[in-house]
Amino acid sequence: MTDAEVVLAAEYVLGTLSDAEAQSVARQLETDQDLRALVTWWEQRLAPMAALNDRVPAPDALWSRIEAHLPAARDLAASAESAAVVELRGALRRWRTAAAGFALLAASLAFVGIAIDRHYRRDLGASYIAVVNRGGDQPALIVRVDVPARKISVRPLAAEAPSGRSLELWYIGKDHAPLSMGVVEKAEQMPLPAAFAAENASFAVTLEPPGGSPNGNPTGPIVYSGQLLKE
Amino acid sequence: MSGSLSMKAGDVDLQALLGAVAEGDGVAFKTLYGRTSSLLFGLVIRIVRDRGRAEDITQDVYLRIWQKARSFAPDQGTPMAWMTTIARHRAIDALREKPLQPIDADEGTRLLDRLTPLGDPQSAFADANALRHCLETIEEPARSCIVLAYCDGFSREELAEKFAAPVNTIKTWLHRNLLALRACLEAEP
Repeated sequence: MTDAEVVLAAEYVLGTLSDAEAQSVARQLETDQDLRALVTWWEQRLAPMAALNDRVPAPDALWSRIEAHLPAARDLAASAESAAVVELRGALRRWRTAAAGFALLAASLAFVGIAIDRHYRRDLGASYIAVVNRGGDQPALIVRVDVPARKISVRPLAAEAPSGRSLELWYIGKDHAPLSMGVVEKAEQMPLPAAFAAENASFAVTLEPPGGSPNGNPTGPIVYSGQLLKE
Repeated sequence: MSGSLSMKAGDVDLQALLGAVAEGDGVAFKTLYGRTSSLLFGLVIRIVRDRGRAEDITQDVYLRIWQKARSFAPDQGTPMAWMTTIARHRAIDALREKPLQPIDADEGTRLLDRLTPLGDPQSAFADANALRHCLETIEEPARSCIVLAYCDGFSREELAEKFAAPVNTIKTWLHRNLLALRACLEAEP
């Protein structure tokens, strides 16, 4: 790589080239792997500067506009929704027969299942449920939120931590830091966090040192997660 | 808020989300949007300095992410840097098409101070420490040129105006200092 190429790639990433220069680089990138690698290098190394900006919540309507432009967005949403409902029903059925016991799933560091949030309502009198799992697998935990009673109940089904580590449950609300709900060991009830809001809420389980995170923030990888659904 | 804490937990799985988006998973896409849109919307607003335009651009950015998710290569870097690149390109293209009055951007250096709390090895931007260190080795005003170009989308001409220097001088500053920045970053772990 010549110095000129290094600077050309950097200025392309910075955006300080003239239009003609930038278009010429863009054309060159289609065939020049070395230049492509150089541009990628700069993109990666300069990217931390993007986090200097204030975050600005996008207006709610923006997602609807994006969704409307997705090809077959409705089909995607519908199929994902029905899959989530099936999964949820299955989870509830299994949960009701949980006394029979479940084979423990080995905890995996692999991510993660995402349920769907199309069921959200701004109904504060409701109860909600999150099936916390690793995707298509059997649920690891059921988290139930009873808003009128201000209670959260947690029931581990198939969550297993590697020896010497603890599983810690986090409530992840919109636009704030994860809030520890404690180490997951047995079924228990806990008070609803003051900051609780059902919209876009999810729960995640991370792998932490014995007894839980030493500093009150998640320190280990997410091993299970699930979003909150209206029950 | 800085967002660094929630990013730390969330970014563990951005890569998995992006993988699901590449498979056409609309639910994963919505989750990805929920986790990243305030950062990308914030950077687009900063560059185009107009909320309405920023909304249009951010919409376009996410549609591009949707279309291009398959081309994301994890071995080439973080999902956040990849999405940031798409957003910056689109925002700067829009800015060049319809330039605005230059803003008073004396805060280029102040912005740089904010790199400090990003020195978090688990953040989406694991290279923040190295970048901060290396930018600090670049003398002013070249350092501000780099930051203003990246964060605010300043063109060479806008930088020339801001620093009351000929465009060729800006080119020289950038040339010399971008080489120094690369040498420094390559020496960092």
